[in-house]
Amino acid sequence: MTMLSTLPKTETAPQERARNTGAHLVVRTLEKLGVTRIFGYPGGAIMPVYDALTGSSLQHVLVRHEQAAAFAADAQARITGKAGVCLATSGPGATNLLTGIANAYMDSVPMVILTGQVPSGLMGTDAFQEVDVFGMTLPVVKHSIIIRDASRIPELIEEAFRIAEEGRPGPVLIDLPKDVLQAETSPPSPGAPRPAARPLLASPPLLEAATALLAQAQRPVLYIGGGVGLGGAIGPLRDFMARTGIPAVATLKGLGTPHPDAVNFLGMLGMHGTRTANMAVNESDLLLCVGARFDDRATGKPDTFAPDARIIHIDGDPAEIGKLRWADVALNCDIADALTRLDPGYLEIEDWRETCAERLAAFAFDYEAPGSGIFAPALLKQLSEAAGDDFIAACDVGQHQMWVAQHCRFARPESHLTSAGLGAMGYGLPAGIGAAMERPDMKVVTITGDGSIMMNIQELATARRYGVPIKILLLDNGTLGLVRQWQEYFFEQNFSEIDLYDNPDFAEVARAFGVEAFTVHSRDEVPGAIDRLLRSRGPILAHVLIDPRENVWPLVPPGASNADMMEN
Amino acid sequence: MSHTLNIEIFETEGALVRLLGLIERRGFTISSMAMSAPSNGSARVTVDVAARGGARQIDVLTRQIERLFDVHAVSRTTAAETVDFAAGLAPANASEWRAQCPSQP
Repeated sequence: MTMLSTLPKTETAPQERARNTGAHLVVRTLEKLGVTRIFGYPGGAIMPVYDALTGSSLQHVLVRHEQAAAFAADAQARITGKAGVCLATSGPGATNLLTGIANAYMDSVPMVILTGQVPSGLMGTDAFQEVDVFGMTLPVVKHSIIIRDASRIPELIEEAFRIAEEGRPGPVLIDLPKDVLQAETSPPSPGAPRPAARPLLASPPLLEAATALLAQAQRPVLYIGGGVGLGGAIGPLRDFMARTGIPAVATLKGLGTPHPDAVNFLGMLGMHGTRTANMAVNESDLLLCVGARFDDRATGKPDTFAPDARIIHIDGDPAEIGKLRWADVALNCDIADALTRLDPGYLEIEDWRETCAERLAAFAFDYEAPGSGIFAPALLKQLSEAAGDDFIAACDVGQHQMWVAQHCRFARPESHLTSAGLGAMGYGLPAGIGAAMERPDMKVVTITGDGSIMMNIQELATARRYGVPIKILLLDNGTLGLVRQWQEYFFEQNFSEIDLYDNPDFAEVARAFGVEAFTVHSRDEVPGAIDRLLRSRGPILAHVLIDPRENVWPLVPPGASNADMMEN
Repeated sequence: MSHTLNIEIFETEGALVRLLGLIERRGFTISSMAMSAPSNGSARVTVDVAARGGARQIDVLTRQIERLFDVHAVSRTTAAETVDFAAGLAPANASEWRAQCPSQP
């Protein structure tokens, strides 16, 4: 026994002591779990973690608003399938994360959120920068933990990652009181790793029942949601579509899951879906719902959604079965397994396939528009075609978001980053930053509007600081376009608080942040603008002036049946 | 219709408030509640719940509760008019279920 090992703990050198704090354990655990990048913003209660980050292999990306940290981590997670990580201090830092946490919850995105908290002894006393972020986030997290004992930090962070990523993914919040972060500790040796959860296989009798329904159906439709991609079932789904020839529609989050060029893919359904997709669902006698949740934006008025259809519902999450629509056959199981083993053969529904194909041709989008102004749908189609399979769209929320869904082509679901469930304006720019940092080899384009970009425009500074290869397409119609469209049609043209006539010159703003920018005024400039945008390493912003009266078509009025689509 | 749920929760910080918040948020009212003293790291919560509107299904609520990581078992002591999705197929009382559900034609 050496002299050194006999020294009491209190004699340990100060520097060595510091390496055994809770904060250092947080950083070391993230490193051990393979995390390479985290998005955050420092502040009082989280400062011990920032102290421990010095010298770590983790890349910390300093955003300029905590909400952007959550959105950027969300985008990274959507692309990698691994939990994104964001961190913020207590109080306002934590509350600023809330929208991003809710966004991840609504779209089932794996995320681990680390928040600083006031010291344990002050919790519950209305201390400076104290909020009960654990309580505030309960409705929008998959799980949450307050760590009270520094020695449990590795175990609980590892558990948070496991929960965030396994099954239906979601955000997990870890609240870290400052005294826990500062406590010296020696964590116990790690136990044996928990075995991975085994996939729940599809039950043979239920597969038989589903096969029988498919064989009887005259007008079956496959209704594809985001759960297919989350369940790692893209290959089995595409194979199923080819094997059966079943006409298919997708939700906003399902886009990119079916092969975009599949002849039996009819497009997006719902409020801004294609006429062909909505008519097919409306007339179907069997709806095979896979990884979708009968969301109101997809179904319209629920009692008129697929009114004559029997339902087969395949989902990995048992709580989605029967939530909004009765399932005649419910398969709560691994989606990939179900789609691989569900084999009704090539369906003998030639008339139905022909009807759908004819409509697809008859109701194809028209990209001709009068005048010399810039027609956003045509621009987006050109952009998507020019970018090809390397395209990743990070959308904001509004008319442009729906135009992207309608007119762009997505090779994979992770090519389409969009705030689907929450519809959070401000998502696009930080999501684009998160995506472009993760995949600098891809053509990451943030597609935003003059309303949305102002919600997180400060992130131009982040793009500049890290030289992020992001291309920003800002469609400026000088108005809150989707709200204006609804006021035009559903509020008797009572235009209320939608006029953004006094927008700043966005190209000048971008340049002030040190970001290359240019403005596009007319249609003949579009091809050159797309070329410049895609060729630039970035960051770069194209400020595109579009017609403020342009609307998104088709449109199912709120509360109406999908059969009652409005057209231009 | 009122249902009684017996829920075994782990004795973890926030488990009770997470459970009760979920029940309220998913459209059910709680008419009575009791909780046993924690033992061996878990406690039993017994709640009487009723759907605030006619549309919400007790089966779906049960599965939403089962999803919580603080919960390790849920059972229901009143089971009238319920649908057993564990079986996966429409039970005989499907028409009754359909009648309760606004999304059905």
